Amino acid sequence: MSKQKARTIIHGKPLARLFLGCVSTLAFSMPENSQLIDLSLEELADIPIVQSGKKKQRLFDTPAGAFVLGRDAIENLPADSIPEMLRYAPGMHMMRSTNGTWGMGIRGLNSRFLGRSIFSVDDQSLYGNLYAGLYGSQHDLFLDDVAAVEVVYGPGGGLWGPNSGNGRVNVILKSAFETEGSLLRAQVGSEEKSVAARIGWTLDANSAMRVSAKAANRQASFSQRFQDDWDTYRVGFQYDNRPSTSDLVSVSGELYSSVVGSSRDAPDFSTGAIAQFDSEERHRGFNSQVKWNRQIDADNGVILRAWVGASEIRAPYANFDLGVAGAEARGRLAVGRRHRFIFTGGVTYDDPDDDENPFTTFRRSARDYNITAHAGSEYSFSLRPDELELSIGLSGSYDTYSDNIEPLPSARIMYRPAENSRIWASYSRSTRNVPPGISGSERVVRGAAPIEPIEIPTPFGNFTVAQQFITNEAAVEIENEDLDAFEIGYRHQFSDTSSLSINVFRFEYGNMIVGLDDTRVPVLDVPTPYLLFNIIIDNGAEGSSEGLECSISHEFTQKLSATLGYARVRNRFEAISTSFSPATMPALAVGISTLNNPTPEHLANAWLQYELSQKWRADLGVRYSASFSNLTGSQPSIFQADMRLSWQPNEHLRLSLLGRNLLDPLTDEGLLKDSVGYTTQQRREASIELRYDF
Amino acid sequence: MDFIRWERPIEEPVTIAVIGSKRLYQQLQVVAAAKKAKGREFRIIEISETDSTEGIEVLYVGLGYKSNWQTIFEDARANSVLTVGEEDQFLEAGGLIQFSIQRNRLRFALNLDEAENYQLSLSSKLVQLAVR
Repeated sequence: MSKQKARTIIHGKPLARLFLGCVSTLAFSMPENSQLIDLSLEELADIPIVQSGKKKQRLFDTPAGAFVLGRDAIENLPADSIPEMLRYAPGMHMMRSTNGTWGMGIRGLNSRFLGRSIFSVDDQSLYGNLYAGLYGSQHDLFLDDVAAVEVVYGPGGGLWGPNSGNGRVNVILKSAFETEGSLLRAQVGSEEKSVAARIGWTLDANSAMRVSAKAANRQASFSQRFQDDWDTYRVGFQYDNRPSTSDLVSVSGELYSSVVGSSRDAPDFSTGAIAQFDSEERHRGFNSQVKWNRQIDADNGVILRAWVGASEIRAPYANFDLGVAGAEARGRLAVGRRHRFIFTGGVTYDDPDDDENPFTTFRRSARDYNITAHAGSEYSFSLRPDELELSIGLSGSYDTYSDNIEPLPSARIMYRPAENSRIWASYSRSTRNVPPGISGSERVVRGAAPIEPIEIPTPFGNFTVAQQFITNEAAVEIENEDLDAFEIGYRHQFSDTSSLSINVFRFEYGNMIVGLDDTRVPVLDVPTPYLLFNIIIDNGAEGSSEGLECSISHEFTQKLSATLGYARVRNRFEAISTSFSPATMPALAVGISTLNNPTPEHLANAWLQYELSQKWRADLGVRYSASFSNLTGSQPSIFQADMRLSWQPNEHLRLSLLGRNLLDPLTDEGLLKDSVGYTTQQRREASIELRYDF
Repeated sequence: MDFIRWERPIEEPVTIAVIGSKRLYQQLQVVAAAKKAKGREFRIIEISETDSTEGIEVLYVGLGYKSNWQTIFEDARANSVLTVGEEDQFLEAGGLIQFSIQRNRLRFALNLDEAENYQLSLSSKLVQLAVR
């Protein structure tokens, strides 16, 4: 080698490698090495350091089912809300029974209340565990503040935290470092009007802040009974500070308000008359969080966070003044190359003060607060370095209602047969504790229903009864539901732009909470006689479900790519009581039926992305959910399409034409389990969306 | 384009040493393996703060070694080793390149006064991209 040559071998690329090393040390979530490896010094210098959302590689190496809607999906999917986006995650069963009322189902269970999966924003659940449902205030976010929507399937070895047995959706917001500048987003359409704006700025070299606001009005519904227009407002801020290259401290908060029209039956117990009760479901409150993320490297770090919030809920099923607070810690520690530990622990405090409501009363003796605590750890041992890793975990949860500590073991194994393939298997035990909105209920008016007329003989003559009024109450002691989850998964990365993921699962449920038959009393001394049917909410079913989720992403050309998803699930539930008879126990029969069929057996979706030119882009979404039926009704199959056509003349401005529910003028998703009141159908809609940053 | 020139002869594979960052060491190994597949070879090693830097071209000094800086820098100057760090005061203490984060982007600063003592020269392009 000549001397001259020897002296010049350190040039741009090797120093870029050095950059890469330092970036890896500093960054919270950088692009993958393979993407950085050939960048120039200038290009490297232009990559943001803090990029919210988990690394693709980390998800690839996680022994759990996961799917991420990343920035590309958030910006371009033909959807304008997070629930609509989730329709394009494999196995996610989203049902919109009325405007702003959604059910989120993962792996075969979906209901308005008592959800078996969790929705959180930056790990925080706005309503604690009140009803374990999904409210509009939770998900009606400013989408430009969202970095990723992460779906995890199953309990994940207990590490997702309590009550996430079937899975969890976590919306990851961008840090303030990523939202510098001003942005305006407006949407005007046949069924929706919204405007959102954000201002972000850096305070100094190590800190940044943003303030965002959003207002929206949605109609999008068809009903001959009532109007369910939905108005939402929210304003929030986030402050981020990096006291060192390993630390990120975030403080965030927001105020929100949501008002949606609703309507339900209002049976009059004193006359037997049934009236339609039109009202509004109103939510308003605030939420705030402080988070410290200390990330030493990929295998060592800790996240500490604390939150406090309050919500005023006025709904046709209950009124609450809810306070939530909590603290949580999550840590990772690597010892050598073969041993890794994960620790989690946290305490949440829900304080739901119920207010007078014509449809629901709570027991005065019921505890007026609920504390849930959880702690867990997982130890991973590399049996064969970089090839085979075994993880053993043990977590536990406690809540004041059950007053019980449940040990929750888990075992997971990850096999790496090749650099681009992963095979994993997992066993996890999980529980679902009883939401305080359910556990203390003394009398809930569910509604009224016509029945086959029956003649009831009395000393005063025969009375004809042709309707029943249904009430329910919670059993005094309901036990937590439990779940044993068995999962196997396979992932393969064909190339940087092509991948396959398959998860197969079997869930075994115990102690499932359903309605049990209580009393059926004829009430005859009223102008319109009726049967008063009371149902006890208690543990009453057990069963299993099996299924799979599959997703494929492929880039056909630089301009055309597609993401396909398919999921199948089958439930088999039965009554715990051996004396169960559908004829004599109609409430339990309905409960079993709705556990067996609350979701379709088949779900499929496709998202096609096509760059028409440098300025034009088309995104087409197609989704299918099979029909299903249970004793409460029938849900027809849905085959729908959504489309976004975008024109981006420069990097600051984008105009989109957005069409949703294009294949049918009306879409009915009314069979959402435990939905209160009348449902509405979704209209076909079109809108124009403007996004301008400056 | 060249960014760094050593006044001593350098032979391939170039050696990059890491003090105090297992993660960086592992990442650099991954990068080096990828680069080797493309026909370029680098040697990535881990050393302790008391080891000699002889035979090393680039040395990264991790966090928490402030008390060893002077010893490390004296040895690096003697062996003409490019020193890189990210801790505050790294340049003021005698290091050559210090990374930092500004406006959510990676930036670096150079210690041009010291380059001569290390018997290194830094390219004008590198100087242009540096924040100071």
